[in-house]
Amino acid sequence: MSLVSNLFVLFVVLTLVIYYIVPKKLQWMVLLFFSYLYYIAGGAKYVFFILFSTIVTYVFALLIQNAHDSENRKKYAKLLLIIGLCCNLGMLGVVKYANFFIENINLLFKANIPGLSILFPLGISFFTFQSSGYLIDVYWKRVKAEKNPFRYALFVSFFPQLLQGPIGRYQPLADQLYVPHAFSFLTISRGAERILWGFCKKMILADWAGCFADAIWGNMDKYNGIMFFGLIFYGIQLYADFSGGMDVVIGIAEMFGITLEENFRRPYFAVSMADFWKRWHMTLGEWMMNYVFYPVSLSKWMVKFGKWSKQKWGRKQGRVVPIALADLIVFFLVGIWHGASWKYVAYGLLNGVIIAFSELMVNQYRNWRTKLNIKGTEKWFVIFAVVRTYIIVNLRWFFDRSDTLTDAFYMIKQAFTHFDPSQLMLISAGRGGTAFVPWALLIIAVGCVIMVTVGYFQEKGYKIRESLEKLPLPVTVGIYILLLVAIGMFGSTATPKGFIYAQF
Amino acid sequence: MHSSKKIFRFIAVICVFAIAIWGLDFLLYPCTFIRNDLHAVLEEPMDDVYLGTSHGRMNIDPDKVGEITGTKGHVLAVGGEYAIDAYYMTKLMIEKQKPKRIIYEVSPGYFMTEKEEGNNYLLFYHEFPLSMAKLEYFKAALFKTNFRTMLFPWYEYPLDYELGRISKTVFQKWNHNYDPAYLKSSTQEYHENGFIERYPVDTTTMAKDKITSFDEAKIKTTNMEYLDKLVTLCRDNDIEFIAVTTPMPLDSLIEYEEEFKAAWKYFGSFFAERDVQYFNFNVELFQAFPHDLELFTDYDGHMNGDAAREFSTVLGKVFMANRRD
Repeated sequence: MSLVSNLFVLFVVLTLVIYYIVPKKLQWMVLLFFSYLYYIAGGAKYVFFILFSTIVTYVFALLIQNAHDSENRKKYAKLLLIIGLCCNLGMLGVVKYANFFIENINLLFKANIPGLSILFPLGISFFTFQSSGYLIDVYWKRVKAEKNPFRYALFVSFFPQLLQGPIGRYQPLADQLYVPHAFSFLTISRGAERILWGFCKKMILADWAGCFADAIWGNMDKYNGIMFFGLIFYGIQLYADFSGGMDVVIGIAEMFGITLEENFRRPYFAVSMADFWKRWHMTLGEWMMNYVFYPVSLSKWMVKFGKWSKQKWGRKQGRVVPIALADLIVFFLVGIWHGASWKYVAYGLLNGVIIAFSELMVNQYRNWRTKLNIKGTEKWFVIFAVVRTYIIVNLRWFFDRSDTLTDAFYMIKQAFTHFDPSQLMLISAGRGGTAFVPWALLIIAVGCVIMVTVGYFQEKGYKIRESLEKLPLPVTVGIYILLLVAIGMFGSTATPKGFIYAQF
Repeated sequence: MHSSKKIFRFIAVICVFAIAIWGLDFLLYPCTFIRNDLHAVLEEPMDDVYLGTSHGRMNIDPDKVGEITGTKGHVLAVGGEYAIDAYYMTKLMIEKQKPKRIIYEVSPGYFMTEKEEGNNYLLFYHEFPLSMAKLEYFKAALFKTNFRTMLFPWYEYPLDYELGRISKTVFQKWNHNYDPAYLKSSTQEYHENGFIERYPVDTTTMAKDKITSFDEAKIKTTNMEYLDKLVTLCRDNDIEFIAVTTPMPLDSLIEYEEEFKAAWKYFGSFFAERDVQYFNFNVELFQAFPHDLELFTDYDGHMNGDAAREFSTVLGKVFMANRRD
């Protein structure tokens, strides 16, 4: 069920009505029922996977809790955690990566192992990470294991975030999911406002930019002179699509009185790659930080490696080397989380190398800045850092968007050897190539200007949504109507596309 | 604030949204010939209603058929009409005003593709009056589409086209005007009975069209399911159902011989299995009407107005000769 479909709109309205008319203690059950209904609507055959993940993590969390509570079984907690994670992430591994391994083994050993015909369940990368995070939190005694299996099932399956996140942590979500929520017009209007903003991003900006990006990536030979435009369009599409989807998801949850974690914080205003990853897909970044980076960095072997590297490269550099290595591991995982393909491995490692390199160079950069008398807070320097990061971020899209690693390298080569901006006008934008290309480009440009302006004010700490609330009702309603009508008037006329991150 | 005041404000906001959406639809959704057609078949009693594709719209003049058969008819066939649309239009007619006979024009290429969002997807649905048929049509065809189909059906048309027609649109809608003169263009003329008369073209310089080739293995099953449902619906409601394929230019028949043969065979047996009369003017009725290129306005088989009128007379005679009383 696509988030932009009539069916989904009606589904949300129906769920909201029932949610607010039932006795408050039953509200979470309504959410559970509709969450599973939503999942089943996407394909009843997929339910097995989410049930498996829920049951495994529920049972193992209870076992770990029991082991913690019992003096003579404490040592089993770690073993239980490992088994639980192996089952849960193992399912993800088999579903997502088995065929990739088979393909590569076949290629490497000239074998002929047949691929597995496995279903790819909706949102599996999101709900397995969310439930695995919970299991680790129970092991670390950060949260108590949930005893009620149905309440826990809601944590894993809460429908707005099921398909594309954000990847929630147990405690903040549980604190809100199971408590009663009174109906409030303010909650509904704030949620609706966020949803409208998200739909504008998706259906106007992302879908128009997608027309151009798809055309360029789909006809690499024909459009070999505008590869850099392809990168920019894809960057706009991906951000507007994913963050627009998040706005919709967070807005829907808000209507139920539930505040989900933010997944974006104006990533194109980042001043470094490390900063970028703190602003882009933040919940995945935090998950990796909490459950991979810190455990790896603090592991015995890494501490040993740290000592060795200090001896080898001196105190300053030696301290940074293990962090850089942990970064590489994290970003390798981020890469393959996106999909089973060498291009994602390359994409992840490229990010890791850039960040690891930045870590290693941090002292050198500081020295250079001191020599050049740059504090780092000067306006021009911040702009320089933002532009530099934007360029680096965009260059990585070669690996993310191309179908294969070979295509990515081909596109890089074309980008640096051919430049013919007139090819832009040859693109068939809109449905069946019916759109007037300059019109479509103008919409994208205006959309970007609005986004950058809004982002700029938000960066400056200006509370736009709070300001909207202070406006007289007719003005607020007028703004909402304008946003809604803009979707109809300026939305892409190409065949509607689904959300990109829903495929993960 | 008192909760009753809050509720009032909430309802007022919803009303403002509804009015804005309705107002934009009123201003921007253009008056199409389907608006005229559905108005005609729902307001006047009809003996024959022609469903199908653009071939049905441009090759059949119901008045000429009626001169032979003594029936009153209207064409509801149009380019972009799929079996699902035909099915729900028939349901609507049954609900409002039942015709005696449905004549379904079969173009095999239409069974190879599916209704596509954004491409005349709302042409029919938009003109449906509030009815059970409309609700069912919504459930079957619009549930899974993006929400613009529900809120902004005018998004299917370019904004400059809508704005250019805005005064005509408002005038026609405000005055409930169904004058066909508004639908006339430089290449064709819309008639009150739904028939579109194409003006003759110079066939010696005519560019060849790419005709959607037929491949039984690639048929979209939804189309056949709805065609089957349409036959059953007519039967259950005592409406006679007849299928027709209009003549194609000889050049096209030769160029796509294998595909056409496969298509005629497929639809021939489909209708035979359902005991439906199927008149194919490219097979058993090949000799009944000439296939010369100068009778057509393209290689896809759309006739010019004169040829269409002549063909309609022939069609009427075929109907009379094959009456099932």
